[in-house]
Amino acid sequence: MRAKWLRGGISLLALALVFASGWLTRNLLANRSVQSGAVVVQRDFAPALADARTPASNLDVSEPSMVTLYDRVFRLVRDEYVEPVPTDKMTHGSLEAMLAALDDPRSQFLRPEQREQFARALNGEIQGIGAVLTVVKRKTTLRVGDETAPLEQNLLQVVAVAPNSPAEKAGLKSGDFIDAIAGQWVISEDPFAEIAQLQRMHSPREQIRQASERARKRLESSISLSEAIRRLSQTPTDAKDAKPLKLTVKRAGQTLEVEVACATTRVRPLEYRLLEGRWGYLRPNLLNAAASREFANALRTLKQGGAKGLVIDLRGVAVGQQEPALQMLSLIATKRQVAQVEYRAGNRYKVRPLNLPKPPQPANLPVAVLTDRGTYNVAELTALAIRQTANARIFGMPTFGDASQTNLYQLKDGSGFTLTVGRYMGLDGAKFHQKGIQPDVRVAAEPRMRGQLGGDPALERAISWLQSQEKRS
Amino acid sequence: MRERGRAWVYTLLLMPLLFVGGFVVSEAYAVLTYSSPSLLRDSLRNLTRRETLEPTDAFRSALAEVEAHFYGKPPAIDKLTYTSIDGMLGALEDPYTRFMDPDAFRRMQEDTTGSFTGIGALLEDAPGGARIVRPLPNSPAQKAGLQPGDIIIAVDGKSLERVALDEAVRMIRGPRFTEVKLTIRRGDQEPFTVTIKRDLVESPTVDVYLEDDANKIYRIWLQNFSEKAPALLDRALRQIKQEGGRAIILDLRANPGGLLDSAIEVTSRFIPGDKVVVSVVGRQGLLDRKSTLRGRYANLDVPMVVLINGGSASASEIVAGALRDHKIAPLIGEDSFGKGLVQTVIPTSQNTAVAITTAKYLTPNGTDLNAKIVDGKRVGGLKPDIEVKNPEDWRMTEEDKARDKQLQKALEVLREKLNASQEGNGILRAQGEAEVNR
Repeated sequence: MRAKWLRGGISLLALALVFASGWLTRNLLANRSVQSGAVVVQRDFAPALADARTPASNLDVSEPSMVTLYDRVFRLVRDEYVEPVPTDKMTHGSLEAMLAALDDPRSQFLRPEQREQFARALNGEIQGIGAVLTVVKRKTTLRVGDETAPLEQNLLQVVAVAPNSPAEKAGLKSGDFIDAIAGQWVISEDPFAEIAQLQRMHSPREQIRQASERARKRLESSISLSEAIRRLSQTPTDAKDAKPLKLTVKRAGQTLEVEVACATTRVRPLEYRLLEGRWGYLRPNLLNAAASREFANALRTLKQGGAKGLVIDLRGVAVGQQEPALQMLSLIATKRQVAQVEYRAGNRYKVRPLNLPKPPQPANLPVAVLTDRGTYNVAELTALAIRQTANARIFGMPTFGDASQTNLYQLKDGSGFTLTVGRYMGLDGAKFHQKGIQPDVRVAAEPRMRGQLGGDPALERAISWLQSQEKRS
Repeated sequence: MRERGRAWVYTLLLMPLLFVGGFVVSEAYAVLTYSSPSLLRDSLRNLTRRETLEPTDAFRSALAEVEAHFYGKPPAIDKLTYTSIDGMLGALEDPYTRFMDPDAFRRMQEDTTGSFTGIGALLEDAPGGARIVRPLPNSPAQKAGLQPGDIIIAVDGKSLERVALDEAVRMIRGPRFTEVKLTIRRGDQEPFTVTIKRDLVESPTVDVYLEDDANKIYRIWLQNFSEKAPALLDRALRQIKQEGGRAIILDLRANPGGLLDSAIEVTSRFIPGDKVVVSVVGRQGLLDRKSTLRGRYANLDVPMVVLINGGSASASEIVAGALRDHKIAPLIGEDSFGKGLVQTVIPTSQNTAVAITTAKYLTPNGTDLNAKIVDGKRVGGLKPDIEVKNPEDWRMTEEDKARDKQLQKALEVLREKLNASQEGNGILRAQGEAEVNR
């Protein structure tokens, strides 16, 4: 009798175990599908981004009631609107507005096609005119009659032109401001600012009417900043759209008309050679994973070839990400900490060290870094970090001056956004935002043949310094 | 022995069933509770390939990242939320589906009730401040003895020297029964200060003008469709009856609309009961058909025309469309604005609200009142039967009446009708109308 109960118990236990294993098997499968699912999403929509992250779902919002409000408005509109609603466009529109409200040119929403462009650019495939563009804020004054009012401008500026790009062929230069595209004014300021000022001055009605007429005319043939950037950074697929764009460019107080084509430019990650059998010349055209891999290989080859010093040419390097830059730095820097980052913690600002991902394996050669106004952001950080952690000097012109540390986020529908999360600064606390990094040796003359002795004054100054270092040791 | 064997067989048979059972129960649990990823849901999602973003999830996570990590000082979280909602609704490309933050919602409530709290004076820009055009009847401004031409040079001691008119108006308005101190310059007198208690002020809604004394042609200028508009219209119509009016111009120019109920009431004064005023068509088809109300007909059997222009919108267009379609009055003027959409205002939390376009309006004859954007241009709205354009810089003021060609045309049309009907012949009157409709 007792044995019967025992047997019954054992079989019940066995059955329970089987049930549990069914349960667990499903869970295991489900979790694995999630992991592979994430990969699928990335492959479908854009080339993999080295440094893209997913916005945290575990972070709290300080005012949950605001999320509730947003959710309620969305649901009401979805259910009540006269037509079916475009959910994706609504999400994009709201994130675009939110990020625009931060009033920071480096924090912006990327629609799926923009995120793809962004990813392609990071992989060395630059679309459109082949220039890196940014929006710079400038505070100026508006003169109305004999009074002035503050006026804020958002100017579209060329940071750098990619080698062999249509922009380079058209003669666009780092620092150029793009004022109009095909005769359409790129809206850089509030055209009604004058009218507001006239109203504050209680000016005659007729004068206000004329001013608003002018503003209206100006707006009639205009193009928004984001639309301008979009036009300049896409390669039309349709051949008949491929006629060149007429740009009105402001350069050092002069206005120029430039015709530039739109075609995809492929940028080689790295070029290098041994100069005079002794000087390793390395020119990363961007700071991405491929460039950092090739940098390591090139460095090995150059050292084996007998390099006694290095020239790292960062002129016009405007595309890059922090992680690959740190990888490269780990082959030059002699310290693990290479820079600092200032960040916001609540209402206060704090500074944290920026460290290499692994202990450095420095080449232990003197390094000359070449910079110019097109040396931008991560490239600026790299130049500064080399100067402060190795036997190094900077030659050329001051850098652009954008010290924003930005995160790149991807959302699962293929869109994404960038967000400025910090400001880079030197080990000694030196800030270069909006100031740029001053070279140790200023060389204003532009190269006739970049990277060629006899045609590149900054390079020649760099080499003579390297020679002096060789003699000293 | 045989019995025991059979028990094992049962157990063995049960095992795969239970395995599958465990699998299924776990999946069901996952789907129902969202506790773990679901194979079923995920494979369905993978089938659709492109994942859609849940707007609220995307908003929440982006907002959290901004709050936690953005380098600059982020804007206040409520402002950031309002901006995000604006951006979300902007994707609909419908200017009328919009979010109202607490300020905007309060202003909207003021506008549709036809009253706001202030001092009740029409102001215009003037050197050094704001000039009083006229105090409104029974307003705090009138009671305080303010006169047309007075210039307000300071509000609560703050000079208006460098303040634009709309900002000055904001400074003067405020909560009911609070006091505002105005510094007034009157002619060459020394400036003086008056303290006025703010109160509810009826914004003007209906004005009556006798435009042609000989023919007794009256113009009723209906400035909006506030709650009070029907009652004020009744007062105007009584006045016209008493004075023996023979023709009416209903002036809906620059009337941005208002409440649908007021539009129905107004239409019912001119069309007897149970006639369609407007059809409301929603996502699912015909939602509603509004008809004129019984017992509201004003019984004025006089010729009538309606004036419209690009500023006539929404409720104005409903009234104009109904009066035209029922052959009560021809439309004279310019294309109307073309806002034939029904907004429903739904209050949400924190004193905010959202206005949603839930349906569109069709006139009794089925004309879609809403303008479409075609090649960047607005096309649509009501077409007038007689198109007359006023000069671009014409203003709807007494002073500029001489240049009001639309009004002149209206008078001309009505005089013709009056002359025709004076001969006591209904046929002639119909002919006049045919001419008008040409």
